[in-house]
Amino acid sequence: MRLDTVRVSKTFRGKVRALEDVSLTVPGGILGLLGANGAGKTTLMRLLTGLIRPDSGRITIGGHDMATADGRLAVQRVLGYLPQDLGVYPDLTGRQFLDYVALLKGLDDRPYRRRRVGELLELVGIADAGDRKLRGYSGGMRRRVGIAQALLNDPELLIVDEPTSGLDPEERIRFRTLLSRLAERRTVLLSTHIVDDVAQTCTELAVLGRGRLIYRGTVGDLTAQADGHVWSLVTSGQVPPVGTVVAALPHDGATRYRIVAATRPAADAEPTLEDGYVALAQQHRLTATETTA
Amino acid sequence: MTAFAATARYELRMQLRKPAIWIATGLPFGLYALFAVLGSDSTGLQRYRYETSPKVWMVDALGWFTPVLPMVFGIVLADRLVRDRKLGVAELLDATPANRSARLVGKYLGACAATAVPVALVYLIVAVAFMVWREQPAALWWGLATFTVVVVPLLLLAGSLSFLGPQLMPTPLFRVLVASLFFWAAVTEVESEFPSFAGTLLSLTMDYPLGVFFDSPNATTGPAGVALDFLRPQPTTGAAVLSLALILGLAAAILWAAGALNARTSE
Repeated sequence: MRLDTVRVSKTFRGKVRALEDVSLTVPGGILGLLGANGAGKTTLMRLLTGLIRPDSGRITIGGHDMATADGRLAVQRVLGYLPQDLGVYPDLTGRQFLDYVALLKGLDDRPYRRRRVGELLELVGIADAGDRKLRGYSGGMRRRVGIAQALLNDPELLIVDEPTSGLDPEERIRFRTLLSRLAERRTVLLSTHIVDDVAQTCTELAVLGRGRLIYRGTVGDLTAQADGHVWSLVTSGQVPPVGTVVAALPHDGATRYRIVAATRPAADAEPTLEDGYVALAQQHRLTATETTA
Repeated sequence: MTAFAATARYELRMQLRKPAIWIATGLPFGLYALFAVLGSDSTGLQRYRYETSPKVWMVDALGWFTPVLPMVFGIVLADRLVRDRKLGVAELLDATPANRSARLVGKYLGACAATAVPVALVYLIVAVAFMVWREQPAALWWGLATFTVVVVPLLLLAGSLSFLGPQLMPTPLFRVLVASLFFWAAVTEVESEFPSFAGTLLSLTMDYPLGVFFDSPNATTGPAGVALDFLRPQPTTGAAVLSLALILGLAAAILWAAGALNARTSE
């Protein structure tokens, strides 16, 4: 399912400009959407799900115009959405909650609905807890319920906003694998500020910064942006006042720092996606400063 | 199953599990029962020892409850709509293809129906007690009739107010205000120095339907020569129907406003 946004902008009350002229095309498969907190990722997700409308610009999903009620309805019928701040009814069991959402998604056939809910509880690994009240679920278990509800209608378009927050490392790996598998035959938009999630699941990504699209391309290309900008330094003294420290590990009574910086403070190292992302962010901030100056 | 039916069913289920609705309803009923048993010959149950009319029995029973019912309904229903946003469920449900208006009405009727259950149970007990005592099965019919004509409209009005009010102010403040409003509306006399809805078509003790349809001697109807008398026409069937229509119309208008505000907030 193809997704297009053309020069989409959104400003909230209080004149907070959340998105500015965002043009993005996703032909299918999985796309990682990276950005710091407040970069506009959640606003973009909410626009794509039809929850809010843009002030300007155009969004089409699978040929449906999201500016029309019919278009939004058509998209919502084939949409699976996991919001960032997922809430549940604490007085329902996991199974009942999924049954309720399934009904709202139009799964009217009772035997099929029951079977589907059971399958998804198995898939996300909480079948044993399915008949327990949600108030007794841990954060990770609730997240898994959120993932299950997003898949109820076997969606053609899956939008997941910070899906792995609150999951333990094992759950995170399991979810990434699931996401990659799901992307084989549907469009998946993975919004996150956890770079590793994108590195492990996506080949394509977009980066938002201060409401603007500052990168659209492959993971490899973004990683390459950090070539010659990643440095490793072992010291027990002060950290050099240049660049951004992306890692600090104890090392023989000192600390090994991994630094992304345009100028060389130490011996160089092999860049990762996270380094590429940090280099891009630095570049973007530089540009912003120059523009302001 | 439609979005309306699904929402109504689950809302009913969730609201019924809420201890607050049983406590908030049980407490005033318990106190009434205590006063009735301990009351004097003129105020307690003793005054009904020769009563044989199921209609009088059921209408009087309703008269004990109606002054506090809207207050109880308003308080226990106050969190139903706003809690979806507080819990973080609203965004998830809004992204489904389910029609928002159908969900709103389903939620409203489901929550109202659940809130009516404890009251209906108490009222049923009162009806069955008379039926057994006087061997008058008609008590059930009069119970059903008075409940439908008096309790249901009050519940629907209180329910719609509870869907709107907490969107405009914090829920605890709304609860205080709704208690004050219904206390004022139910307790003030027609001849009060302050303008009062008592004895009007909008009376929250449902004076016109009670007086016209059920011959309640306690219902205050007709002009009294005070403020708001234009809302106190002569007690006729038409006036009683108009009173019901006004209360239900007001409930529908407030619910519509609540839905519109809720949709705007989610934007």
